[in-house]
Amino acid sequence: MKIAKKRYLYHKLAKSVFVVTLLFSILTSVVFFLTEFKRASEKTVVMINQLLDTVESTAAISAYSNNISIGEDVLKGLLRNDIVHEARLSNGQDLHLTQVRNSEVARQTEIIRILHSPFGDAEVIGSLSIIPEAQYNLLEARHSALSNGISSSVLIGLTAAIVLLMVRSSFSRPLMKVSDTLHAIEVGEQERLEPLPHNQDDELGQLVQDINGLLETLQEKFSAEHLLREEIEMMGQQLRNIFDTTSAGIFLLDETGKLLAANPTLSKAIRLPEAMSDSLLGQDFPEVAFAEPELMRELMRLAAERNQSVAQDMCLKTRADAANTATWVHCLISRQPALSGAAHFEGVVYDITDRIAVETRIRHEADYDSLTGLLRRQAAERQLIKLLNAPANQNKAPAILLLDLDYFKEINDTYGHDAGDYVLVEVARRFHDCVRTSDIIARLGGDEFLIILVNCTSEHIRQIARNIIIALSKPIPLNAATTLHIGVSIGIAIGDGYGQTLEKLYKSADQAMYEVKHQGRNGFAINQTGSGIIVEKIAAAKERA
Amino acid sequence: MKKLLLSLVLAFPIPSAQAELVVITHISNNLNNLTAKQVQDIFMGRTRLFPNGKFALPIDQSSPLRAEFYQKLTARPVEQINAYWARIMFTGQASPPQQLPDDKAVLQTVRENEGAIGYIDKTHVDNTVHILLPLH
Repeated sequence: MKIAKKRYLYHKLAKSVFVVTLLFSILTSVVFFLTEFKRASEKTVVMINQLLDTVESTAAISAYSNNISIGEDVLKGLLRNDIVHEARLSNGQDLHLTQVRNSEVARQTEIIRILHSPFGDAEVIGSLSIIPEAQYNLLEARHSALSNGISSSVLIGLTAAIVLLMVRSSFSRPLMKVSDTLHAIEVGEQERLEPLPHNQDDELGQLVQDINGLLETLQEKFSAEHLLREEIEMMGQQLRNIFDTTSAGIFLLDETGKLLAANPTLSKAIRLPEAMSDSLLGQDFPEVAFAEPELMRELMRLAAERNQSVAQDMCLKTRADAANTATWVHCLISRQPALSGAAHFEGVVYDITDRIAVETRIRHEADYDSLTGLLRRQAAERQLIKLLNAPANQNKAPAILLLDLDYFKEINDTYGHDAGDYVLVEVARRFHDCVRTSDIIARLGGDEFLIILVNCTSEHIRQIARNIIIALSKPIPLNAATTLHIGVSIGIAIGDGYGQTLEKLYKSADQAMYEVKHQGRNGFAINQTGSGIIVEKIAAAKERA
Repeated sequence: MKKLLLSLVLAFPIPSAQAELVVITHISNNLNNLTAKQVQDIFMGRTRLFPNGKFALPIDQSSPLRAEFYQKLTARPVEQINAYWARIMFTGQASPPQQLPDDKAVLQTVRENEGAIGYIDKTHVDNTVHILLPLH
């Protein structure tokens, strides 16, 4: 870098003062010249008039007596004055005298004096005229202007020089000292300016104090900022550690779902094989991670629409090499309006497979009878209502079988609850053997059961009912010594496929059941719309213990 | 009262101021009269000719009448007239009129010279000369 030549302020000041002084001197000289020129011209007129006064009577005599000699004497005498350029004497007759100085000048106004007769005032006998010497006026004025110019220049120049010296010694030098010291000081250093001995109480002293104060503050600010920066760095490191080591996957997506950034845990969180994790950036995240990418896209749309964070549990895409169980993550995303350009989504995923497993178990316990493993009443009814509300279709109309065990109360009373429980478990197992896997078996409570058949002809229904009755009529061995016998009564209602209510279906099954019980047990009856109730008795091997 | 004052003035006349002068010339001069200015120009050397073109010879006096004459003619003291002539004489180009001692000599010279012009007390005038201008 080129080092600029050092420039001093007082040099600048000196230049300005010099120029201003020069201008002032020229200006005053010009003004002085003009006024002096005017004054000299006026003075000339007065002087010439005085000259004319002096020679008037002699000139009059000359004119009166036609005396050339006297006239010439007068004119020569006049020419001896510097201010006279030309003098003329004339008496209107024979006398015409002229005396001229041989200098080339601009013509001046002629001053004429009328001459009167020396012996009669009234009579005009001629005229005496003088043309003033212009050169004289000019010289006079020039001289005055020059002397004034010189004297004013000397005065102003002297004053300016003194002022400059004063400024230099009491202003520039201390300032330069301060400036040099300040120049050498590095920001944030301990060093301070020395106070100026002669300028303790004036502006310079205050300047030095203020600069020192400023340096002090700067140093404090610097150290404070240094501490702060260290703190921020530490905090950043901690945050970075959290980001890197958290068990949650953190990711950033663009508007279309392409992965922009992710923490190292993400690929682990979405169970991505080691080989694939490197090339994750830039890929379509919903497609790569989730079993149902559309769900994720819907979630993104929702986040954009509500402009707040949304969350959902999502099933991960099953990997070929992974275990067969489904892996679940909780995914929380929010849309961040970008400061510039397109908005993006940021999100967190973390593994909730265990939680989902627990939840599934709890739901299972709520829905299934713990003893028999059959659906409970409420769960079964939920499914039944769903079937009844399905679009009308006679073939798919559900049929319900209400089952009531015969002689169960007696077994319970005779052999105890454990035996009753054993019977119930065995009954449930036998139900399973009689129905299709798609059919629903539920325990309504005590010894009452419900079987829901779907997509089944009435003949098939009868067959199943028969099979159940036969299966349950077989003896149940409690232990080596005891064998138990039970029976079952079945009331069947077949839905019409036109949105029957649950109550109506129950009622009609109940009526059929009532008929079965009324006509003896171990049988079934179908309450079919338009056909009435037909009871069918099964005379199975009826052995009593 | 008025009468008394007039009689007093008449009884004690001041001789120098009271004398009546006349400008005279040769009897043959055919000029009827001259104005005071014409007389003045001739006596002060401005002109050497009468208005009719004839040569004029002014004749002055050395008597006390001289002061009275110039006083009456130019209204200036005789000292100033002397000073005027002194300047002219210094140039050597002209000289003042010739001075005669008294009226008698003037009369004699005027009678003898055709172009002569002079002044005398009115009381000394006779018919041998021609009066050009009375000076009061």
